[in-house]
Amino acid sequence: MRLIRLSALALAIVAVVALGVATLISAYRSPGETLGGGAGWALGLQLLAGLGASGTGVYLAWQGTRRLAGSLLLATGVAVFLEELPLPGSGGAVLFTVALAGGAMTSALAGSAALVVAGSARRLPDAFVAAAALATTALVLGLGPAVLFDPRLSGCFACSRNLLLIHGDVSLHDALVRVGLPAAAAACGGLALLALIRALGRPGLMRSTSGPVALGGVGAAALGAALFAYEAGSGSPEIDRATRALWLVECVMLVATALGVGLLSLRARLLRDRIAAIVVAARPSPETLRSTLAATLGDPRLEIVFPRANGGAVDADGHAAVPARDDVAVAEVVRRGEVVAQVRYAVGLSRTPERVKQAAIGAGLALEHASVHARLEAELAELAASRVRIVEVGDAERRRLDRNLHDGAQQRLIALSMALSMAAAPDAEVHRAKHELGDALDNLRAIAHGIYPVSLTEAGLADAARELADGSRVPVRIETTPQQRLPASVDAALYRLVLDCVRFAERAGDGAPLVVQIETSADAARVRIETPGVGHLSAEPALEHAADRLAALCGTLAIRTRGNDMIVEASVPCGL
Amino acid sequence: MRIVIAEDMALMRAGLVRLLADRGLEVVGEAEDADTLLQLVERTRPDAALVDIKMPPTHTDEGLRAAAEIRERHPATAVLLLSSYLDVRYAATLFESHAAGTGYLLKERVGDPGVLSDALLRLSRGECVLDSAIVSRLLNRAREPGPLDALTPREHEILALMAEGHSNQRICESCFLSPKTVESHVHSIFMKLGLGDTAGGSRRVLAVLTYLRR
Repeated sequence: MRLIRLSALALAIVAVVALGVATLISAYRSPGETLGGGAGWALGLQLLAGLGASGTGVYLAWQGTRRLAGSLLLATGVAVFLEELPLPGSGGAVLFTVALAGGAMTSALAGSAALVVAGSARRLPDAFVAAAALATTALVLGLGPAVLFDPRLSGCFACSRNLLLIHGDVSLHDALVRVGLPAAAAACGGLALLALIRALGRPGLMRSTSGPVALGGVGAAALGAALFAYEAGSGSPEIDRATRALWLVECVMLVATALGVGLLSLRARLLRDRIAAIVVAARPSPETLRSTLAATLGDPRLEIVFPRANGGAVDADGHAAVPARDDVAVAEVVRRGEVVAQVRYAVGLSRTPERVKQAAIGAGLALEHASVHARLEAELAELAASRVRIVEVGDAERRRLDRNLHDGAQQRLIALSMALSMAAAPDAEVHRAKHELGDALDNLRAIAHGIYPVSLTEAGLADAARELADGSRVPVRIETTPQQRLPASVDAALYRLVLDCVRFAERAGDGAPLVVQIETSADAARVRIETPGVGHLSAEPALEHAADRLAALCGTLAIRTRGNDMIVEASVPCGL
Repeated sequence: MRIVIAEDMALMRAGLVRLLADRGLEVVGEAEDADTLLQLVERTRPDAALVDIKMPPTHTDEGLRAAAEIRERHPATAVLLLSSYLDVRYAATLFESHAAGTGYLLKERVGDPGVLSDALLRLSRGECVLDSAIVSRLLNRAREPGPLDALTPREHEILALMAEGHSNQRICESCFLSPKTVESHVHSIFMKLGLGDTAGGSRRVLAVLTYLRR
């Protein structure tokens, strides 16, 4: 597809250049018969106008976003040469015929291009006006007279053969032209006026490369209308000083259009190179990148967000980005067919869509990098959240299980033991059953004990740690400062750490007391545990579960040894 | 002796009523939650209330709070809390505010009718009661070397009985010792542990409990 577009554009360029050169030669040979006259500067101006208009058209079409406007401008360039082409001495029947039929379309084409970039060509009335101007100049002033024009009958013996001739009729031809000229003047004038109104209705337009196209098109259409009106007034399409002047000014308009587009594009491209140079040299952080773009484009509130595959967008840190405000424009940065970033900016004098787009292209590599980073951060955050949820769900399940054991199974066993003790004639069998029941209750308590301590749910970390110390096989000294209740997940994680240390000491310690310090501050809960006698052992396997829980809560865990003591310090942010 | 029962599980409640009746204790009211219990106590002025710690609506410490309120408003009504948990926390909280006339037993003790009625009787005499399983857990917990190691086996035994809330009189009976001997043991224990108040009663239980939890 791209290849086809490329070859079509290349072919168009070659054809336009060939036509331009042919026209130049013909005009040079017959200076009196060409609209712009035979002066060297005039010839050069017209050549520039034709090539400039087509070149701009090719450039716009190549960019892909304004293909219709580009095609119209390309056609405008061709029309310039056809209008310039001297009819007698055109240098061949083909050129003569084409110039005869298409030699009045420059202004209508340029005006249509202006209407298209002003964004209103899709509206039916606007499309109708453009179509009217094109049809009048193409059919009433072009094809219509062409099929009736017999050069011999009109006394033009220097003219080539008219390939379109169907029926030579001088009076009908002249009548058609007499009707066509005021009609074309009105149509092109209307087109110019409409395009001007539409362009003025879009303030941002004038600052983009569409601006010169709109202004140039309006100017060319207006001058074309004036030219048609003058010819209608003078009664015939004869070349005189006035028509020549109007035509050459129209050419100036087209040259100015090309220059305008070229300069704006160049400016945007220079900006892109500057940003690219910064990106390559500094390898900036996302914030530096943002502030560089903000400073370069003069919008301190410029934002960069990174769209995610599942919809939504995140900022550089992976946090969900707020939706774009209504008053900002969004430029998408595409790398390898994927939108990696969106630049949100307020449209302004130095922030044309082209400039922002080019700046974003310049920063593309860094933006892609930042995008990958941001999305990864977002995914990590989601993963962390889901990890916390998994732990919390597990805890809730344990609490439920603990409650069910105590409120269900245990109560029933107790009721049973009560019933047994009220048996009418207690014998050895009943005693044995009661004994068994007692063992069952002990078993049940032992099982329930490891599930989720009720003191942790009801009273928090410090009380649960004390209960743990009450039942521990090694001495545990608990030192706490007065504290608030912690979030349940924080309680559970830190309790697990104390539990793991106590079990570790019971398994491998030397019987010396553990010292557990618990303190809470405004933003974090901290636990420090001295576990004596295990310093020579690897603590990681013993504390793995606790470490996982702490990590899930973005907590820290530091394990070090002092002599043969292991000192564990954990901190969990809890935003109290 | 007139008793009020607060227990949300119907099976348990029915069992308790029968059990107490078998022991010649009169159940004058049954409640399923703390609010009903307080109204019952207000109306019937029982000698003792037998209260499950966990009751509706939250099943956390309703019974504990109701116990404190009963002791506050009706000093003549003793409270015996029943708990499924071996935690010392509830007992410590209970005794800190109201030791005299309050007791704490594990629920499974109700399978042993003697323990239950004995506890109620002791409570009605203004003593306090702590489950022997909790005392033994506290006494036998691992601890750093200290004054407890210096107690003789006899003193250990007497310390446990003190922690369970027994009066010197009861200790004499269960250890077959003369009141004089018990008193000297108690004195010796308090000297060794560095506790000041050797007087009997509920404050002694709290002092021992606090010491053992240290």
